[in-house]
Amino acid sequence: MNNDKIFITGVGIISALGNSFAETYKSLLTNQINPDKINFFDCNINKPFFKTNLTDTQSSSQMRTKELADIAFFQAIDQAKISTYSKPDTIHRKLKIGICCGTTVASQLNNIEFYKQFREGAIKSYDPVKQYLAGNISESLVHEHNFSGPGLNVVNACSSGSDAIGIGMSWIKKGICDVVIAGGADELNIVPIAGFNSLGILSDSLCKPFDKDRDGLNLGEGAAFLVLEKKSTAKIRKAEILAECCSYSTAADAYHLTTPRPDGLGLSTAIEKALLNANLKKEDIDFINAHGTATKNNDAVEGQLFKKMFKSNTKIFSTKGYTGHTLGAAGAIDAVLTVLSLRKQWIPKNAGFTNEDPDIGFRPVSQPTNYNAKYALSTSLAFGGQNSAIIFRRV
Amino acid sequence: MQLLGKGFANKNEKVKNIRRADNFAKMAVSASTKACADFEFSNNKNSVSIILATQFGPHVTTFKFLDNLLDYSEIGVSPTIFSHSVHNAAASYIASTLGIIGQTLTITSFIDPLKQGLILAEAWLETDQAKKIILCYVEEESGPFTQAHKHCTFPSYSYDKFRTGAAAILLEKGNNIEIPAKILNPFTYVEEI
Repeated sequence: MNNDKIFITGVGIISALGNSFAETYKSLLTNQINPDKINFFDCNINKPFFKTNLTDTQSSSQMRTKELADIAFFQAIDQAKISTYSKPDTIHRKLKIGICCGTTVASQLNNIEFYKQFREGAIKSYDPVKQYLAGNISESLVHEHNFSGPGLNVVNACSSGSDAIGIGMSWIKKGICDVVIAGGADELNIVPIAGFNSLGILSDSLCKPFDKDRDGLNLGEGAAFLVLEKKSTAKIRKAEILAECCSYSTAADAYHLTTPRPDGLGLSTAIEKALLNANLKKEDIDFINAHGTATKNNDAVEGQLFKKMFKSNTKIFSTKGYTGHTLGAAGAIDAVLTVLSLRKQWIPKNAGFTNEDPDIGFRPVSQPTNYNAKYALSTSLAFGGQNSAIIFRRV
Repeated sequence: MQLLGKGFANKNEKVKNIRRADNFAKMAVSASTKACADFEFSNNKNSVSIILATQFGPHVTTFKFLDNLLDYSEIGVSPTIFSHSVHNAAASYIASTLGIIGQTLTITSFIDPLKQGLILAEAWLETDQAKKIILCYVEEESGPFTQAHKHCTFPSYSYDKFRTGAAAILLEKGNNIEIPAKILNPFTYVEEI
């Protein structure tokens, strides 16, 4: 078993902030907040959504989620200098490369028209089923690029993207893979939109993470991938080290299907284990990119725990005010944005925040800030009481 | 890895205290509870992990949600059905029923998901991310997939037919389980180990 450090050598991202790392940074710098209406399927739920600029015509032959995943995937492997078209006998073609992707929508056959035809006993085409069977993102990426490692989808609801990164780290530590391309992808889709609306947690206005008057989340779509590997394999390709992925941990609430445990025990367990695995103290964490969805419950649990657990000058922010909540992609998008902040030594403001919540007792980052940070924590909470934590280090 | 216990569940399991859960989750909880019947997790419940592996997840509930959408529009759907259609609901029920607060993960793979779960379980045990792991495989037949099976090529375990049921194993570090090159039938595999 090899416990060498794991580094990030490539990142890819698409969200409402833009189609690349550079566009994302530019949008954050200029505080771009671009909510929109759904125009690529019928939707009578009139709330703000955070769309990518992927047009519907691009996604006719495969699932929109896979289209989003492809965009982020190619950015990440290009940056990491992984050529998927090189000859089999070249050095990096011999690397065992695996894919681990978090998603929610791509795991379901939720084609309404197909299901309507099934109910009426008049199925006209099985193409939606074939599309679904071809649409397991990780398996299809492994197959399309002829990688020799595993392909696995994580369906842990809103922490899936973080958990995919954690699994990727396990694969490398255990020697299952030399390189793992890990992340998450999810599209805006009527099923989660209607479902979240039925739970009463979609805001009518722009979301306000950690604000006293927060009243729910905005859904978004996007994808992000990170290339994980040890320094030894990165060196073969002369790939630049972007950051270290120090540790990951996750813990269950064992409490409720849709409500986080009020005392935050699952989240604190995940954070403490992540700190322990990285051989760090909580005082070492310079900033936290929080899950911060702007629901009453999520932000109360996260906020109260952060206030209790971390030093008072720890910078805390959520980026959901820019991207919306991208479900299975959220943890991966947050991971890329955390790497961005460490690389640029700059943290964005917590969009949407105005008034401090006395029940939480802190103010998140209120202005974009140049900040000399070494260690950062990214947290994800999910349906079913999942809590995940990843620690990154600037290199 | 070492096998400590195993359990199975079929359709229409009656499981105490999770009346609202769908059949997929009930099968998962029942099989996992049986696999852990000889073990008491009162100490260090955060060192016990859950991996739930499936090809298709709770699609019966997903299709119920689509029924809701068609019958009542997106404004009138049931939040309970929606929350159970989320793939990790079953793993969450296992965690809350057994009081387990370790790593809880749901994975989907069309190709050999139980083997993928075994590989991950071994990695977690060997890197000390967990002391014990409940690995549960669950599948549930649904009308649309059964009909589509006659017209499409389904992968791996469901290539010849769909199977409904759950099989769970409790694992710890050790040597009495070798990960096979390929699993053709997850239920037969668990019966035979």
